[in-house]
Amino acid sequence: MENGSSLDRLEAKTFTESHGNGDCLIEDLVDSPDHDSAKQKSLFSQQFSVYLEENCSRDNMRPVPVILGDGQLLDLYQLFSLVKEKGGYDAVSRNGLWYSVITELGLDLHVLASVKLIYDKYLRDFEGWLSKTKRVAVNQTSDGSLLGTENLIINKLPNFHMNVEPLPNFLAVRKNAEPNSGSSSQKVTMHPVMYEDSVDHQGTMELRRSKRRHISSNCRCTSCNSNSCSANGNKLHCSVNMAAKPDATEKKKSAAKSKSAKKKTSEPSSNEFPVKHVSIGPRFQAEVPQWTGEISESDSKWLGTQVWSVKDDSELATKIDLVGRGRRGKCSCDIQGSVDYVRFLIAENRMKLKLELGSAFYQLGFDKMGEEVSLQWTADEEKIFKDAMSSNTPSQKKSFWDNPSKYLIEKTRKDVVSYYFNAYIIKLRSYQNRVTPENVDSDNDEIEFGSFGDKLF
Amino acid sequence: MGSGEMGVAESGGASLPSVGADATKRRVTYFYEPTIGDYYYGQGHPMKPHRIRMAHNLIIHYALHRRMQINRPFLAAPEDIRRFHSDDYVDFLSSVSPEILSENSHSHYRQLKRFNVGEDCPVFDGLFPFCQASAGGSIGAAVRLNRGDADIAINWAGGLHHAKKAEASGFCYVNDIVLGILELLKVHRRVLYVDIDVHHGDGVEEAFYTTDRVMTVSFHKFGDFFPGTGHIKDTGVGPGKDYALNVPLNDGMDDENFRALFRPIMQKVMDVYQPDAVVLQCGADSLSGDRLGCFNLSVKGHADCLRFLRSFNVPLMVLGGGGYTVRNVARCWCYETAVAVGVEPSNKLPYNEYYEYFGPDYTLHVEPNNMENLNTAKDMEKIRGGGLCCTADKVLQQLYVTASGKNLVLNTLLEQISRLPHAPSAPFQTTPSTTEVPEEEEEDMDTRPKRRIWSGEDYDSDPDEDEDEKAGTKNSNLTAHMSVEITKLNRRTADGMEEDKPEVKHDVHPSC
Repeated sequence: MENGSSLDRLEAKTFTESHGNGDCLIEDLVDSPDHDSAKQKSLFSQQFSVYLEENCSRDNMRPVPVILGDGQLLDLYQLFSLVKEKGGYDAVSRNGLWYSVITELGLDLHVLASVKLIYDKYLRDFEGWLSKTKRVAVNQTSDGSLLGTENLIINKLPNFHMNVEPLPNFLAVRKNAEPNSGSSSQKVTMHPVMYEDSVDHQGTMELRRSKRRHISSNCRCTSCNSNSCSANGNKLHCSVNMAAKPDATEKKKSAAKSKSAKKKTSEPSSNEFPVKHVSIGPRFQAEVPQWTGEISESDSKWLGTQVWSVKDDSELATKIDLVGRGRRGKCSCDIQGSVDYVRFLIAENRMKLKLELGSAFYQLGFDKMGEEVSLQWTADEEKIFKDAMSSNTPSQKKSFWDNPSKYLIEKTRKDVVSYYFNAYIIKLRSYQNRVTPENVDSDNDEIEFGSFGDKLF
Repeated sequence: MGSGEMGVAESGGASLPSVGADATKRRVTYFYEPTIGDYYYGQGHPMKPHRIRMAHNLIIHYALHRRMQINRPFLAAPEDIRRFHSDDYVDFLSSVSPEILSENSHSHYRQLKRFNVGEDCPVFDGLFPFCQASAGGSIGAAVRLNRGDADIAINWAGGLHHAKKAEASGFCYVNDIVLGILELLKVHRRVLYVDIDVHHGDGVEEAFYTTDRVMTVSFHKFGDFFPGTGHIKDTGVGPGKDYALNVPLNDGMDDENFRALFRPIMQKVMDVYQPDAVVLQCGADSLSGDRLGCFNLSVKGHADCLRFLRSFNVPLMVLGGGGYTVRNVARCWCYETAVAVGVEPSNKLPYNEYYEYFGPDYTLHVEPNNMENLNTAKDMEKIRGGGLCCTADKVLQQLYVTASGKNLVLNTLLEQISRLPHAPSAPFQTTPSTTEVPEEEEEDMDTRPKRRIWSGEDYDSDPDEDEDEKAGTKNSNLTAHMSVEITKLNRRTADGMEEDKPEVKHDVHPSC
């Protein structure tokens, strides 16, 4: 572990030293004296050849090495790192930095156009390929992107690993350093539980924690697979962190080992999870035109269909006063009205609204709202739906939702969804509000609803 | 019924009796696609477009439509979506369907992986029309603002801030925000994007990471949390350097702490960046009790962000976003619509089709729970070494750096701004610069902080460096951040803001 992290720092350092004139990078360095640009370079050439292999079928072959018009050899790696350092092809072009790229490459300015062309032909797509291949976004320099993909490539092409002579030890260190490495392309998930087979959450808190747990392990996997996290993270941030907390690597180790991560509280610690950075390149940023002061017209189609307009101020004062008004009458904590009574009050309000809105009532979608949608359903259909929702096995419910028309021949999927939100849940919630008001939930739908189902209707 | 809940008078300046700074009317336009509620991500998926319909329902039942224009959005076509997203990705989105996927071919599988579609972002029935409606609403909102038809444009179906140029992420497929901002940039030189979703606004940040025409500011939970980006040190690249601002926060963030960060930071950003338009992503998963979130904001605390940005009277686009406890999402977005139109709605919900969702209280506001706020001084101190959690002074430090002339681009920008009629540095501005009648407090706000922190237009001068150092030596915790500059700032803003706390004048009491 110790090895792994010191390696991280070392690479960040060396790469920046050999290529960086960016102040920000140098600032964040830790003091490690070694040089390692040869590794960087060989890594680049390996990745580039994998890229060529993968893409030669659909694109033209590209001859390597690249020789410029005047017979000079062009170092693609150097070019690539320089351009990435300056923010990528687009940024370099936009900011007129090709001049300095050429100068820094030690080339004559008359090859500027050809170098630019070569970058376009050889490296631009590669840039996108790299980012696509790796899953963890990295910061602006090429070191991250390069390092980020190595394990991925190894995983992807198992034989490749064997063929690479200069790298195995290096990679072995990395792999050992991260015992928790998972499948290569795993992505960080926002909501983890919904597609898990065995669903067993108890309320919202549990769900939240489970999300965290999932993400944390996922994150770690990602970090293991693409070392950009550790490399970049250390370079930019952890260099500071580690100085402050010498036991950081120990912590990381233990965190990585405890797969369940149950012990984890919400206490954040900089060193227990990787830091993701922003990807730079034409595959990531929006194209923002320079401000010219000229205002271009927008298509009026975007105005959409105006359904309602503000009535002028001459409107009756009594009506104006109603804006923002809630329900009147009894205090909110008076005895809960019966379901039927509340239904009646809702229907009454609906009628008033219909009167006021006129045709806008339909254009605003009010005809498709509320329990009225169940009027389109027969008792049998409602029973089928209720049974499907009450089934205790998640797979049965899933099968119902996958193809509701199989169960309800007359209904489209949309009808079923509409019924679910407009009628079914309202019935369920009416019950909850009156019987178990301390425990209400309309969101964690599938699980708790089943248990209520029988008492409901 | 006290007069408080009626809260509307036709003469300017009195529409919100309980609020100081934004006491005039705004022309509000609102986009709503009536079919939005029936899109369904799938069984068990926490993202429920139905919440937009619930919010809409409350909005109309509170009669807020009488204060705004309502449009059904034009559906964005694939070529419109390509203005940001890559061709291959848009082709995929517009052609994929559950039926096609059931064919189970290998190439589909590869595409799903490539575009990160499957887990968080499932292929569901009507996926593309859903994206079209969301994007169409946000672009429409931008066009309305561009044309000057409205001061505030709302699209609760928008705000899908995780979507990337060539990839879906975090329940988001098409980044309506980026598309909306690109539309705004046709007319507005600089656009400010503010994100109060509990998750980092990574898609928008990434899209505009290298430009200074869009500044992104995101307040989010950071640390072992989706999407993992949004470190305080991620500030932009190239010309976009310093134009991305991240405010990483910890669990349990409450109204008070959030406000203590949001207001001074945004005040500074508004002063320094001087945006021509503002886009606010109102992800409601930062509310207390969210199914996926971990903050502890009340609806009012959440809406305070809108209230504050509204007070600057800059064209404002208001978008939805996350939010997974649907009843609270509906509450929040309804209340925020009310804030936009300048009405303080009654706490007692009107009878509406989704009334039972809001039981057993049936109120607009819900009490935050008593979860522990980990953004305490002690905790901040503890994790200071990690530099992970936000402290206002750190963020402000970045702003000081930004403003101190180190950044050539910004400096040029500021020089340009100083020539504008209502620029902060323009000394002794004598004539009101806008066509609209400026509100008293707002005019105040324009002049107050700017001169105090940056003396005149002299952005290159050393005093700024001094400010820098001061900020740098401050303790990194929430107690300490209330030091020098902020305290000054708060004192300055105190008059205008104090009365800003919405006073509920309704007849509902917690004890009743």
